[in-house]
Amino acid sequence: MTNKEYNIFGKIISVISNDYPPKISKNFSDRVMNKIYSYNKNYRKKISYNYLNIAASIFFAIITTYTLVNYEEYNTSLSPVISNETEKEENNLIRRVIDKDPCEAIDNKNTNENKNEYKKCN
Amino acid sequence: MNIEDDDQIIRKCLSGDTDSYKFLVEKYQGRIINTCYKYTKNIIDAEDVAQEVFFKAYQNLSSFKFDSKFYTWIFRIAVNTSLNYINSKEKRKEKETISDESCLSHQSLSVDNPNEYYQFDELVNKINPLIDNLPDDLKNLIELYEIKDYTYEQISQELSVPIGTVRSRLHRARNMLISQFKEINNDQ
Repeated sequence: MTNKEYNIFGKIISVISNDYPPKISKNFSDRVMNKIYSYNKNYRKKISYNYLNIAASIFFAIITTYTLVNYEEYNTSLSPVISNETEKEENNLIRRVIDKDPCEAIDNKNTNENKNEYKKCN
Repeated sequence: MNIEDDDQIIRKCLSGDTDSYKFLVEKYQGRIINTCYKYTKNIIDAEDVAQEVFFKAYQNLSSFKFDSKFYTWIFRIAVNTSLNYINSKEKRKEKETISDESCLSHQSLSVDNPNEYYQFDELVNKINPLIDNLPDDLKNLIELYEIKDYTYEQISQELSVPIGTVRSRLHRARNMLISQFKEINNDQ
């Protein structure tokens, strides 16, 4: 059975059931089928895009995880060096404070003040 | 020449043979467009709505239950789509005024191209004699199966004949109608 025969049979059924419009476009079925074909085409395209999106997401997820893991390793390898440096700096500061005798500084201050007072008296 | 049942065609469509769907469109376009025409009162709009109906039916073909006839199912889609169309048209009318000029030009398109249409008035004059010439038992079978949506089993019970006989008689009736139509209408 071809399209034409179904078309004829459709018209016959319409007439038997007294259920027919005044007229029908000759290309009506072609228009319907074109719409369906373009829908199918877009649907397949959409599915392939979805797969592509999933693949891209997985790829970027792997790359991100890999980068993060490596960054973590890089950070942990740098941290002892940084802590040593700060420790050194702290040690220097402490040493400088220790080296400076506070009593000597106070004595110096007092002698200066005395000298100034002596000058004022004269 | 072998006219397949709607169920067979639907199964083919569901298995990936999209082209088979055209058989259903060709078979039911007249009745579905007329259903839409009853609501839209305009043949161009009726065809647009009917196109939407067949498209929706295709999209939802997987949800078709084989316990009812395809026409009964698509008829319900046609009624719902037509009602939706009317509602949306009324809403559009509320929002904007449609210019009479555009409507007239739209109408004139349909009038200007009569060769693009099958005129049913002419077809009725050709088809009615074919139906009258058909033997009564075959005519009765066609009416029961295609119009009243009886199943093979129901017809078999109604007419007290085996299902096989119902099938073969229906096949014969369809072929007779089609071949006679072809004979009187070679250009179709």
